[in-house]
Amino acid sequence: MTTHTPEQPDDAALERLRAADPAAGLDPDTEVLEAAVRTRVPEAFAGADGTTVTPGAPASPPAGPGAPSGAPVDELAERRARRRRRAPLQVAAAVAGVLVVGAGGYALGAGAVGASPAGDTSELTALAPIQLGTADAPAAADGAGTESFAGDARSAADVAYPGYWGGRTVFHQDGLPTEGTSAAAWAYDAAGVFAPETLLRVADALGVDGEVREDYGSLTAGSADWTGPTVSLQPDGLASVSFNDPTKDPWGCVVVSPAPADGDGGGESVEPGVCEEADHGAPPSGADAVEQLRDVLTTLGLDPAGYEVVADEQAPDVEAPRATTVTAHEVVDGQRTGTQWSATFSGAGLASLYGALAPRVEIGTYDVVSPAEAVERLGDPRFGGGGMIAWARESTLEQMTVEPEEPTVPPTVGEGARFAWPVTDVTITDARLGLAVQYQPDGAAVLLPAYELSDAEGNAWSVVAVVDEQLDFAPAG
Amino acid sequence: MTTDEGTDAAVHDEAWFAALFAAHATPVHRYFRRRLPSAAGAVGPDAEDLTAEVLATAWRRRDDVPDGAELPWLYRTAGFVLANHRRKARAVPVAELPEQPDDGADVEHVVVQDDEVRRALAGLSDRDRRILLLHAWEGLGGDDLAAVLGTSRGGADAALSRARSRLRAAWAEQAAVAQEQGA
Repeated sequence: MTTHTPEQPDDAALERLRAADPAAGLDPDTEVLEAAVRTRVPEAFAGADGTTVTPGAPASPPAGPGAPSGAPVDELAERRARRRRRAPLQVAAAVAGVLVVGAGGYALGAGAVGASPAGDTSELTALAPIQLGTADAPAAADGAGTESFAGDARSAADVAYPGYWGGRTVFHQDGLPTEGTSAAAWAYDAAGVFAPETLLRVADALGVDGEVREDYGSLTAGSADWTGPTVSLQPDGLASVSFNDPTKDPWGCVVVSPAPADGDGGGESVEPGVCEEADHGAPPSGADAVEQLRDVLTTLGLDPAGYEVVADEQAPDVEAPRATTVTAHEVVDGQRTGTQWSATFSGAGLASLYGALAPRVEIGTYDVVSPAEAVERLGDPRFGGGGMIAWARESTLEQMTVEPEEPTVPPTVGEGARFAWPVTDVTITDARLGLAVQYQPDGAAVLLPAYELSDAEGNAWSVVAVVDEQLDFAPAG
Repeated sequence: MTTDEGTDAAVHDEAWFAALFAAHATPVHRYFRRRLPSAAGAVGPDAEDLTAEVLATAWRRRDDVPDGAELPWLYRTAGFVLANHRRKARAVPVAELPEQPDDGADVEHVVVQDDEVRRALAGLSDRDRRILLLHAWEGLGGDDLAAVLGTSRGGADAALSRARSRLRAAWAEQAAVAQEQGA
């Protein structure tokens, strides 16, 4: 089912990515897979007349010690033993010895899930703690039309680019204030809103019918097969909401009846495979869409005055736009926090909506380091090399795309030469105290004071501003 | 104009499940093989178990599996299963990539041998990475991609288009940096 996006030719980067597929040509051992499934849902294999339906396996029943149709665990062990005796054609087979079959269940190797009784995989309950995030969300980065509602950050910190951002860089500061101050911090109260009642209220506000069902910890209401609107609420630190209405999809295809010779579907005979786009009419103007999103926020119980609502610019080459996209940026003290709601409208109305429902609650005023100290933190392993991110303003990035020259062989390094070891030296000239969304190890989201530190060229770094005494450096987990 | 639901809709019984398994077990398994870190000896069994988990879910929720769009539904479920697995499998030390809650699926700790590709990917957002891998490795686009992401077709097309241009930009920037240092 390879569906390439039309119009865009494949490019070198994408081709390399395709070629780097680690599973190309890898096939699982279907017998082992089937046995693993049978352990969990044995009833899925019993035929109506009592014969066993064995998907993907040879017709002959497994020969081996013990009853052939005995306990699933025996069968599983038998199949594993047979697999080991076979020549290891796949990578997986070469490491087969690691697996341990637990009592009536299936224990994994390293990274064990909690052992569960055979055939019973209990529903997800509470979330396990998550590793501390390495990237602070940008203090006030331009939205740039990203779809993520948590404020995506360029996580360049984990990449060891020698000499470039986050790699070997030292920071100095020039003339920044040396006095600390204080600032307010907030928590996002997701736990206070995550409940079936909340989802029902949201579904009601958005016109979604249906009962609330649970789906791997998240709550969902509406259509189960993408024929109608659905809305879901995620058990994450922001109580993220995602709403989608295929019937108002700006690029939706008219549904063609699969039955042949049936001319009832829309009165046109459309060939299968051709997408006849539904005509919803012109989408609302940017200004109208902004007003509509403000109304939606109000019906969801949020205060639109706390958001800066901006319509995305239409692509200049689109003659008849089919959709208008609008983003509501949460604003605190005149600064965007990175938390947002984004909506797409077609001529038929609201087609999709994503956003953070958790309300912000002030949790106190915290002491904050001086800008000069903040620059020192950039070189502090507790904050740097992961606690900070760097991003360059658009103009700087453009300078990087230089036409590569024809490669030549490098001159051989001479005897006794000093080895080049490039280190970037950055002088921070400006500091702005703002706010950044941060996720605690357990997923809870907070909005805490952070500095945006920039150099003369306009490159910027961010670092948390709260003083050491009000941070808890205990290792995660 | 009347549709007879009984004849058009397939009955999701054992035979349906056997066909589902035969058709889709391998792609789902590959999905996991691509996204599990190859810590010593743990890849194979993990991927098999997670695949079995997805298929078992398909049986338990067989009424929800849409006809004609089974594989996207399976991939979507696989995303949830993988996110859940990562939250619990803390014994495996994963790279310092941020684990931020996304729309149900987590960061792709990709298994990429090609160093340049991995570096280019590392500079992208979680969402871009996720979309690019679903497109480049699972071969998803259009309606299928939208179904797996849980968004509208237009949203998926737009998101993929943006992710692809960000990848191109990261790739070009990387090539320029390398050139600059080689000079």
